[in-house]
Amino acid sequence: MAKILIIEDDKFLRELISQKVAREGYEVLDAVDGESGLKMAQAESPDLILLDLILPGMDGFEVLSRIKGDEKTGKVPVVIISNLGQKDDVDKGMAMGAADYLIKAHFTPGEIVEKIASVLSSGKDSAAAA
Amino acid sequence: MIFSRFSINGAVRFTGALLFLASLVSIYVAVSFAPVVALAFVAGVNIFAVSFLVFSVTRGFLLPLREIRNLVAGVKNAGFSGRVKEHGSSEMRDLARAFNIMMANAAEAQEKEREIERMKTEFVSLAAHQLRNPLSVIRWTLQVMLEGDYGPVPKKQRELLQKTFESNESMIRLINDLLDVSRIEEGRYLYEPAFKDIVAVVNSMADKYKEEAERRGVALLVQEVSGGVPLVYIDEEKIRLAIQNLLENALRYTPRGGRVTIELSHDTKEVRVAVRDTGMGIPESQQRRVFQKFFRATNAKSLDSEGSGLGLYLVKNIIQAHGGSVEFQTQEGKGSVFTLRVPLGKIESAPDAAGIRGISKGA
Repeated sequence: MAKILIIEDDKFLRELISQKVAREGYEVLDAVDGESGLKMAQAESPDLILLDLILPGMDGFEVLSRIKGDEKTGKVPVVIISNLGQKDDVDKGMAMGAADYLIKAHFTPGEIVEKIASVLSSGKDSAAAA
Repeated sequence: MIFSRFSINGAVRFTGALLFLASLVSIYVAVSFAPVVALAFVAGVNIFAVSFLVFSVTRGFLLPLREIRNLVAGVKNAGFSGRVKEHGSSEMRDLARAFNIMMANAAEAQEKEREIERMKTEFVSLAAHQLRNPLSVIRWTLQVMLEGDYGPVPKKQRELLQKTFESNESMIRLINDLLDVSRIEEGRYLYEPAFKDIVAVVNSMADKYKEEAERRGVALLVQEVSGGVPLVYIDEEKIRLAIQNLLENALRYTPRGGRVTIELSHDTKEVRVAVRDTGMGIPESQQRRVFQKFFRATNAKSLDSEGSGLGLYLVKNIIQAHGGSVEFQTQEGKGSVFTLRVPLGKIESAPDAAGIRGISKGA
């Protein structure tokens, strides 16, 4: 069973997405800010991380760069879920190594779950090919 | 300064005929009399004094006055930042001083106005960003309920949830439009143009709206009036947004059984994308305001509550940024056609133009 780490500061959004992801049969971990999210990423080695960008304290871009910069977590696919929808933000996130960038207002939890499945399976494909 | 003033008095004493009143009128009188006075002097008095007089008038009045005139003429382009040198006769110095104070006040007022405009735009942008989170929460909640994650939803409740979901969607669209408008107004709406196949863009937009057109019972067609449309230098994302706005309007305001056609044509100067509908049209009295922010035709408002009134404002800004223009023809009850004209000019100046112009798309 794949393990998904959700880093999202909004309690309600975090719960909604956690429940949706858990319902699909994934194991769910969640963190309310960047610092605790990073710790969890290192301690729990999740298979995928859902990352919000606007977080209290360390922001999502910083979290992303630390995840990617750490050899223990560098290979874990990170899907950004944010309301920052500007092309600049999307480009920046993708350039920093995000697997995908979902704008909250344009995606529903169901679609996010589909995205998780497709990112996980493409990861498996490339692992198998390697 | 003192010298020039003294010399005027001296000159007046020499001629013994002319009195200089310290008013702007008298300067011109002096200037127009100068030749007359000169004649008198040539008749035997003192040529030196005349040149001195002319020189003094020039230094004391004309030069400072010309500086003020030049500054006033420049205000339109340079704003209120310029100041004049306070020199010349004492009257001219007073005038220059008063003029400089006036310029400073005007500059301050203008700066204040700009500041308010900036604050307004910032507020809209901040409010819009802040609204996106709660709107996302509502969207997500309604969606998981509609998907039956929390148990089956009876038909009537489903209908209401669906309607609420749609209202929320239009609110999200409004927020997105507002953010785009505030970006335009802050000058942060950046364009990244590249050579693109506009035929492909139009076809994919038509594909995107096929389903919605079917749902509304409206035929949606693409018509390539002229074949071989060349690549165009555009920001594809923005042009998509412009076409999207025209298509959404056309579909929204065309009754069941109607037809929406996207017509593509070009000549040596431009590519034209026209969205033609058989919809309700825009009342003549309101046609002037079509591209204004928040404009919505009265007949459109009575039909639904969806539009934000920002779509055509965005379209106009996007197309103008491409050096093009938007035109429309409309007849109430018969339909409208909105035409985007995007110039091909830039292609000719591009280094790799030759290859690009050769590419052609089949009709």
